[in-house]
Amino acid sequence: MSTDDLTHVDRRTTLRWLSATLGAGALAACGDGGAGAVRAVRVVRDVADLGTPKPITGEGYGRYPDTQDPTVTWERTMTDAQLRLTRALADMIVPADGRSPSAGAVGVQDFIDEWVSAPYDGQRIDRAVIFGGLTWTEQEAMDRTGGARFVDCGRVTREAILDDIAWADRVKPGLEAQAAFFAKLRYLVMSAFYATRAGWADLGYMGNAPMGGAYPGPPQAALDHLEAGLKARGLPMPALAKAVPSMD
Amino acid sequence: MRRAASDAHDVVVIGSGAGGGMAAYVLTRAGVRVLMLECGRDFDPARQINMLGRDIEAPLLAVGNEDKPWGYHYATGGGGTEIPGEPYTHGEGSEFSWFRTRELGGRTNHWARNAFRMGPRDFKPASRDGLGVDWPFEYEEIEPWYDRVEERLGVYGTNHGFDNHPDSPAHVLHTPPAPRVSDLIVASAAEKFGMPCVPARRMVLTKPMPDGRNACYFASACSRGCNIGAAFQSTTSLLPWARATGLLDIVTDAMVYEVETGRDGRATGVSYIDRVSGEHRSVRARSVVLAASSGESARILLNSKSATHPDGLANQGGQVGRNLMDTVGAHIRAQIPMLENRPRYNEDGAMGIHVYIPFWEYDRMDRGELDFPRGYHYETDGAFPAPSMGAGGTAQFADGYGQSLKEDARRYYGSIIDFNHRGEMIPNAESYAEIDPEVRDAFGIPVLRFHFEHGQHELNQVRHFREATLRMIDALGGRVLSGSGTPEEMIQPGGRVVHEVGTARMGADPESSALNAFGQAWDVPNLFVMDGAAFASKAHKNPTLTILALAWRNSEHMIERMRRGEL
Repeated sequence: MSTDDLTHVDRRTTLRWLSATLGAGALAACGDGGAGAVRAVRVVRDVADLGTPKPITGEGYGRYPDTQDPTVTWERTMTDAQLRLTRALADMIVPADGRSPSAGAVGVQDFIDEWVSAPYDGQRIDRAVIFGGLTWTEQEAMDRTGGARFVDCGRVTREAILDDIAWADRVKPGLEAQAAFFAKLRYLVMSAFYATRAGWADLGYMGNAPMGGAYPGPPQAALDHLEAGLKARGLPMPALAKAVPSMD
Repeated sequence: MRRAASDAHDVVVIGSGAGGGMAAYVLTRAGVRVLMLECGRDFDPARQINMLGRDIEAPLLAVGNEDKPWGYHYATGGGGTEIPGEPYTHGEGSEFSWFRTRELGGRTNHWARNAFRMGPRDFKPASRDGLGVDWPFEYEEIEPWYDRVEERLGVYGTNHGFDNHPDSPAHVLHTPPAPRVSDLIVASAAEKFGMPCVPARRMVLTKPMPDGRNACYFASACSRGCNIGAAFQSTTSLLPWARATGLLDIVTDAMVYEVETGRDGRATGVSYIDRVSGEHRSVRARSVVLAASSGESARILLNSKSATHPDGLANQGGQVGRNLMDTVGAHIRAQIPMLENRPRYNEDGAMGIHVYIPFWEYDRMDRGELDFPRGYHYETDGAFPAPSMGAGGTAQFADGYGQSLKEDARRYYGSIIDFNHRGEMIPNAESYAEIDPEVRDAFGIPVLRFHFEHGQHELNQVRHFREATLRMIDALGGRVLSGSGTPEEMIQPGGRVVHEVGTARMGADPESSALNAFGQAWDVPNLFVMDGAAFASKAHKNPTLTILALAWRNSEHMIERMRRGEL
């Protein structure tokens, strides 16, 4: 993590991530676990290096932004290595299928960059979580492969790493913080992906489309589906279905 | 302090939302010269509302943060429950959120547009159960003013003939939008238990109006504001209409802190701070209308101390700031398996409630079979949302990664129903606002200190909602996702529903109220209060329609008094 993160992250949080990234044993052997611990570990194995993100700069958009011309008022800060890794994870979280592209293909990693680079309190917390988690993921790949980067690993290795942290009832003991990282990243990846036109089309959202005349209400297929569901529960279609006057 | 050259005005109106907007409209069309002071910035819906911009095009998926707490596109205009430099404080152990806007039009720019009439029971509650106080008039007194507001501004809905839910004249209401699958499923469960589920009433046009406002085009969240004029807000209706008379001047960024009075005790004008320059200014007027919001109006009254009014204005009975009420709120969210994978269609509709469940238990209440004395209603939502933060509600179900996650999102999308409780709160001695003796805001104005407690009546009402809701969810085969705890856990803290009222209530006598039946201060005959502060009770009906009706009626009363030379 870069120094700008350290200034914003509680020291205990920082140490927890260093500990998770580098191995608790190595840190414990180095006394209080400061910068010296990092140097101590470097001599025994390769350490994940995703580069140094730029510091957060820029102001928020203010209390009266011009909403007709939405503008991000801060620079993105993630490194190329972080972005590549984020895209790889995004593509695993939301892969391409016959109905829609992958999250990485629609640029979700750029949204993550915008998010973690924002000069707001909530996003600064997420920045620490996500940067720590990315570094852990990279380290895990190197440890398992003898030095390969996550993005260069095959599917089996990548999935083995995620399978330790991605499933709610199967988190590997001791990796709870990493599981929280993954849940956060997954939430953001899904949010951004499904907010795109491709995501709207995938879920079948058909709104945000002005229409003239009366609101038509549900088509027959939607009513039939509801009626079948209600019938299975012993419920009739409501009187309301026929009670509303026509707008014509 | 310098005096602005503003003696050209008859009435100064403080606030530009529902109450202030209506006062300006009614007064100017009768030839009265009005100066409106708004503490926020100017706001032009045509240039400043982005109706159809997608969240992905806005910073951070348009979610809220320190700059825009309710989201990038929310028409809060610099407002929220926290405003830099404008604190408020709390009494020990009290929790209260004070939502404020800082923008021309106030809350009318973003509100939900739910517009239910208060009924005969609502105006005489104490006569039935001995709790709180009655209003100083009957429903029949205000009925014609509801008619006028609905006809002039536009409300969709239907008449049902239900107890305490008054009908409107036949020609007035706009046709409500058709119920969606997410509405019909709630109706089916409600009807099973004898609960009515009927078209709601909202101040949203479904036919174009002669004044040029358009019908709803069934897209764009109403909370962004509505620049086609379909969803009522003062900035597309009352204010431009009043301005068109040539008799309304509006000064924005004018933070009023005091109503000035003369030796005879009458109001002579108001003092304000220009928020941009920091300059103190003073304007004179024959009459003053306060419509700054319940909290701000009470604050101004209490801060307006003088030799003739040592405890502030309208406070001869010690009622200003007291009787603080907010609509009782609670919320249960459920996932309904029968809605999984349901057929897609455009379910945006009017971007708010199409139907609702009005209170249905008056008979049992009258027979003494309920352990709470006042009603509530349901507002529900389950329409396919525009996927954005949270992936249209599906991210909460996500586990793992990969193809199964995509399939789960498709399956769960549109299968969540939100049940919202909106209930009546009874005034109590522990819920009030007062001037904090020590804290001042960035302008040097003493701030409000809030005290708030719900009583057992409100908790029992929430328990009733909980049981009724769980019955419906169970009948539908659903599972509760959140919100179903004890009543103490479920009830939302004061201010969260943003319906705070009662802090300068109307009444029949100056000892137990701040204002008479026309919103006129008992002790300052040329001072009127026309916002929610004037409410004597907080029925479960959303307050804006009643604020509008009272403001119209009371402004007409002012005009009569002016014509008689009394103001």
